[in-house]
Amino acid sequence: MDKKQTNNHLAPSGINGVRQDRRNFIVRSGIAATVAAVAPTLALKSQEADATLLASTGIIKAVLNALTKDTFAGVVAFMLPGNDGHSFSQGEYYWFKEGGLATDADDFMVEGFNTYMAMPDNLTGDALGAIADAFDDVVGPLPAGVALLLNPLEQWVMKKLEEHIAKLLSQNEHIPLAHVFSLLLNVMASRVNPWATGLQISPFARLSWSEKAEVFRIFETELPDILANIASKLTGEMDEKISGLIRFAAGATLQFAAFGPYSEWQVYDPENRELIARPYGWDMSNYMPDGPVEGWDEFIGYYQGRTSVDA
Amino acid sequence: MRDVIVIGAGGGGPIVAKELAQRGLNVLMLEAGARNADPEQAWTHFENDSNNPISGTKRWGPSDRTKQNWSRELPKPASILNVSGIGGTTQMYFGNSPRAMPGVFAGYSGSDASQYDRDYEFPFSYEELRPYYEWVETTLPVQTAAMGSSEQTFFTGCENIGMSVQTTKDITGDSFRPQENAVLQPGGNAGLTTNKTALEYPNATGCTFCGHCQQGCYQPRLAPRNLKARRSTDNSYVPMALTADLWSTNGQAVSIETDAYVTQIHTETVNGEEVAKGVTWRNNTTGETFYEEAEVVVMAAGCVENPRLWLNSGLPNTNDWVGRGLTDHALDFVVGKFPYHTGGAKGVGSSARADFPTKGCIEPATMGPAFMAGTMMFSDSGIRGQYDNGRGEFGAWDGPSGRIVGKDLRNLLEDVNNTLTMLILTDDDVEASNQVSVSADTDDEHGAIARVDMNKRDRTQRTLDNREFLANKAAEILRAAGATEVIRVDAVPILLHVQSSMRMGSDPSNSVLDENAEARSVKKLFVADNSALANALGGPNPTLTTQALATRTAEKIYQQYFGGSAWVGVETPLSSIDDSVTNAVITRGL
Repeated sequence: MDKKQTNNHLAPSGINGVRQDRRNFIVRSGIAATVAAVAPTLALKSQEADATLLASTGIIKAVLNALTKDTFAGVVAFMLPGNDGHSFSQGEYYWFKEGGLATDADDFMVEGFNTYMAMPDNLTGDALGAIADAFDDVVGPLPAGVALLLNPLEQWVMKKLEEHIAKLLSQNEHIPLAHVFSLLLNVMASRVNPWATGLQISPFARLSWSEKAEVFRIFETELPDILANIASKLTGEMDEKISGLIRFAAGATLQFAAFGPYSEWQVYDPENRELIARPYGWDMSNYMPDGPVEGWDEFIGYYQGRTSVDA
Repeated sequence: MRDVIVIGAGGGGPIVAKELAQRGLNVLMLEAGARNADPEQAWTHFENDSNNPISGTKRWGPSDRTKQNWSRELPKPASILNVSGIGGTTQMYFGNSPRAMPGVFAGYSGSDASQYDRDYEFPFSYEELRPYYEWVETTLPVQTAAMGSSEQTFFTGCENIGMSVQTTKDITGDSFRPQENAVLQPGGNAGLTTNKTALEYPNATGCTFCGHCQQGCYQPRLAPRNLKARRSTDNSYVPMALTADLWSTNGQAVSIETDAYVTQIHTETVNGEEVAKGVTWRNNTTGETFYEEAEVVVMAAGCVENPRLWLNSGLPNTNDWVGRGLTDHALDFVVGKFPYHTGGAKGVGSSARADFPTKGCIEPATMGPAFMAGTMMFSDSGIRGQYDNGRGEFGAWDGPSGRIVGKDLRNLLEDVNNTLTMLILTDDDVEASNQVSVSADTDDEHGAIARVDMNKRDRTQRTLDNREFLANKAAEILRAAGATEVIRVDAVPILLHVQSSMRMGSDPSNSVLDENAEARSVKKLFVADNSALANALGGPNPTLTTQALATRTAEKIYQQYFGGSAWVGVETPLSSIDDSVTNAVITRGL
């Protein structure tokens, strides 16, 4: 495909060789906060070697896993609030009813995203960096002073990450779709409310319920602009694949968040094809009140007594 | 060399296969997905296990559920509900078998004729198709649906707004009725108990009202495969096809290859004409490829895959209509919440309907909470009360259309059996811009993947008006039945009822197939699924008409290329639940 030139995503610019947009992405996506939460010991060490270690594959995986799970937990609470921390954070909750998170639907979503569609083999941190650049163009610069909201530990992490940002975003490691989309949700969340704070590590999960809705509005209404930006920074083939995946993810996020909690996913034993407990989603909907059945006593008769009709 | 190769074992392919096998032809049917030989052991009625689009048994993907499903390119928000495997998407259909609106056929002279889309009518008359309807209605068989709570709720609503009752198979005017559906009527304990043992065959026969049409029908348990309640082709025509040598005097059993994805149709030039010669397919498990020749090739891979296969095979597309004219009934959902039991997750998927000639149809649907909640997210109107994407339609429903999320969703679904979902099936127009093509950038192991462009917001004014009329009517029916809350989803394109992407027609400039469903540009190549339909039928569910047309196509093939005679209208059709078929199914160990 002769469509676009590949950008050199790793070309240094900005202060100390770190691109400002990458710096923004680190803050916006919640990576900084998550590193502080997931690997505080590492983050506290100031040696250069430790900072390198911070950017190593294992740590990044742990960071991204934690961040992704927290992000999708925020989505599930948005869909079906309950008496969990994420629901309280968003200001839409029940005191005495569990919500969608009681079904581990955040894990359902991560699994779903990571197996639904094949990520391109060559989607690595490098390509993710390009996406980060594209989103930064759409989202715009962080308001001055937002970085000051980071706690001291997060600020320390930021400093370390900036020094090794290129390594973080150029790991030669396959990146699952769930990570990509959770990062994008968080970047958008930082646009909707860059000042959001709270107990959650994901910027999306820190938003109020209405602010979360605003994130989905942006994805639905501005997706063409986002995709066009991504297209300008990736080669033709990669652009098509990434664009397709993001388009899919934007559409499927709410579907998965609604489907998963009401299903039996959490308590299904696939080996024996049976339930190991009653699904909480069935309680939420009063579905199968006495457990699975092979039929119902629902037969009333035939309308007006007619059992057949002519041509 | 085979007499006939049929590509696809969904709603249409098995009809051609069975009919020609009954005549003694050597038929090979190739199916990309799973064999589904023993649903009682392989399937469950759980929603995630069945309907998860990633890994459920009812997905578009290879038989090995640990492998990823097959993807399509969708440039705009949309969803495609296709199922691979023997039975195709009929594995999760409701069995609804209405005839088409007579007004969409050539020669229609009713007073409302001008209100139909006359540019894309069928190339023959309704009367021409009638005997083929009757043949299929006996074979499946099609019966008048029994009534449960959801149907009773719907009928009450229709009665209360003063609608007429229809008591014929032919649609004659605005009216409501029980479905004529391919679901065996309940017998014995069926519909009368929840006791598992009492619901086993033969203590129960026919539909047990289990509420799991979408998860695949294997009720009643222990029944021979051809006596399962819902007559998806895996339970009806395929068992007949596999045993044709046992119940037909001159029959020859159909050979079936599953996990067999056809990637190429081969042609040759004979007397200056391009003629189908054979096919290449790839085994999804081993990766091996196979080639086999046939006298006639029949495409029945579906509205999305047929154009893909045609284009990837490099077959001629001289008028540029391959893949164009896709219709989808501009599907929509209107959901009601009731203060009483509606059986919203019980019984047959849909056993009642209302028809509005020149506009479309409405039918109540029952479904589990996961499928219901997930499907309601496919809205084009944003999140209700938060944003509307420039739509947020108002009408006889409550508030703006849109997704229902958060506490509103919890409240709506707090008892799924106090809800009722109405499906809107629009009489939508054939439009060239709605099309299936192939991706310019993305391939899978079977070639360039299909790309589907469905411009929901830019449909013809007639289509848009019809959809609004039906959504309002559905809301009126729900309210008249006592609903206390009515929500309209305003769905994005949901490609469940898909038609006419390889359409037949009388005008060579806008049709791929002639009046016999043979490709205009490739002889001995026929199409026998929904994609062959000339239009969206005026809104009725497409499967029965596809099956009637496929029967007619089988007859044309037999007459034109095998020197045979017509049988419809001459012979008496054999029901797929006849004892001779049951005995054959048991003998063969199906």
